[in-house]
Amino acid sequence: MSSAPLLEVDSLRVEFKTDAGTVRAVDGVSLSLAPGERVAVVGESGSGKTVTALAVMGLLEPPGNITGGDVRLDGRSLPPLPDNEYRRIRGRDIAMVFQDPMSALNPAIRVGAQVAEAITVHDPSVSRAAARRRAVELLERVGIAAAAQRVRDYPHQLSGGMRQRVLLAMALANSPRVLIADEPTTALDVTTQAQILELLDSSRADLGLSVLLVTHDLGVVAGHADRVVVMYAGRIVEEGGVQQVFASPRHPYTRGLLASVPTANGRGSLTPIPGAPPDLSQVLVGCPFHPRCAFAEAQCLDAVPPLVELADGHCAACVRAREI
Amino acid sequence: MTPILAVDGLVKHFRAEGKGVVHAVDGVSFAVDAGETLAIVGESGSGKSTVARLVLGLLSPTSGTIRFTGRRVQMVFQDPYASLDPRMTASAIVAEPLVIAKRRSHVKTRVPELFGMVGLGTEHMARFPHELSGGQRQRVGIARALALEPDLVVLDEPVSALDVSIQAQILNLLAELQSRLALSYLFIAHDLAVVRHIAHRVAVMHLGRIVESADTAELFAAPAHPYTQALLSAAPVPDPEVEKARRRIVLRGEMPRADDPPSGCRFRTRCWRAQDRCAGDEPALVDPGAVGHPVACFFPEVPSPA
Repeated sequence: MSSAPLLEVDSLRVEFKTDAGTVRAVDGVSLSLAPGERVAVVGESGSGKTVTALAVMGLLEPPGNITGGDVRLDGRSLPPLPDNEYRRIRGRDIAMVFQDPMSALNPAIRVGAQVAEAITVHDPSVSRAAARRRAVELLERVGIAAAAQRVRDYPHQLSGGMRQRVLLAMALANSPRVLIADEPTTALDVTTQAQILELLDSSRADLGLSVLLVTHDLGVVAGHADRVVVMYAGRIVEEGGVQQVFASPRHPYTRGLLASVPTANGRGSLTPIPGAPPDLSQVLVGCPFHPRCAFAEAQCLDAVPPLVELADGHCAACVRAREI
Repeated sequence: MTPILAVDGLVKHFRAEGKGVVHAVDGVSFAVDAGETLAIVGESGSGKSTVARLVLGLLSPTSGTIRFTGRRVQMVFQDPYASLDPRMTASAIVAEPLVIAKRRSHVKTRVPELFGMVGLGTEHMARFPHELSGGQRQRVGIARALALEPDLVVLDEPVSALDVSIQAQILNLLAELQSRLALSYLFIAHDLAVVRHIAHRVAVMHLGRIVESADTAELFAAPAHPYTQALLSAAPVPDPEVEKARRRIVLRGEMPRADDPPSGCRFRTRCWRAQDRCAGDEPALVDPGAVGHPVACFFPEVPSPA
């Protein structure tokens, strides 16, 4: 993408101070999102993908703390902003949908009122009646049938898919430019997942949104992103166009992930990645992936390999990236 | 071959307070042969986990029969953290079935052997569940299930809580144990890619009924029931070329409620092939001839002759 980035994460570091030591959850992550672009951040549990998203939203809770780097929207640095200013940006410029729609909604408030609140909180001049009307429109747009009746429902009266639609309606209420979707379909059944992903794609096209999609599911990445960023142990290990990365993965971890997914070939042995991810409260020596890596050699212990560009926009953080 | 497990006309209704009767399982028949893996796949509310519980005797059926001709059936659960006692060491957890079965004298030799079988070193024996990774915990769960040498293991979503790189380790382990110990598996899952990898045969459940069953390769190559087609087409494939080229069937509307299922075929309200007959009659799970495997649909997709 040639246009100037809308959202930039620059050398971001996030630490959690716990009794067991300091966990370096995000350790120097840089990524950018151009207008209208869909970037997927993919990784397994503990890779730092969700913490990165929360840091962008200014939603990190203690003991989580940004200890370095920057997050910029239109070139403006967000982390130094006081709470009330961040709150104005959150929802209006950058909106977020979460994995579990049930816990993201207030169980004691009717869904219509929750969508209306998302509107009035950013524009108190909107009357209650106007906000309610707009809530119905938004719910219709996200595909809720009989929205005028459904606004009176409580979250528990809706299915998981409908709840996720309500969250998306709230996220779109103020026409944000960036939507961060954190595992938006992980809690849903596969046919419902297809509905929600289709809705995300059509909303993005209609509204010109940029989408940062956080997911563990490589299948979702393949179908719903332009670029992909692969995270491991708090770092980016590979990034590039979705076609590039899936067709010729250059980091052993990305290769391992793709080889672990059961696919069309059916029965036969999978090639898992041996071992488990490292404990991020320990000091890691060298490449964080080397203990599990089939390509590791002595130099992998020397230093953390930097993210190096191998081809147009395709980068990998591996000293042997060009040979594998 | 006589099946090790034969389930016939299984029905389980739950009486929900103020909500009438939930038809969780409504006339399900299947058989598992010795040494084979039958996967039951379905979405939330399909009744697949209720079938697992009925087979294990954790629930009693409203009607129907379950005939088990093997020696012993055991279970592996979805969430290894919730199914292991946090105050017991891994070795005590694996030894517990032996203790309960009054084979305490076997513990000393059998427990280390079980740890070896599931790929855990003896250094893990003294650890507590919170000191193990998710994959290691599931290995402990599998070792416990194997302690009393079952010949049928019911696995309820055994890898869905695990990361993909760990999931592959556990799937390989399950396949290896099956061939080494001649185990039969009843594998309950929602993930079609996993099912395709591990199962010999697949039964697809929808709202308490089996709508289609076939050998795995055949089901994936030529799904005949519209619901199976929708399910396969909705599952994302980790290949951008495939994703770009595919024509996805996105179902409209919501899954009907199990306490108020539609008349006739329970899929008809979301089915693009539905006709008047589907509302009146209930399609039986039979092979309509041209399909080659049982499918409960009046208008199944018939494979075109190659």
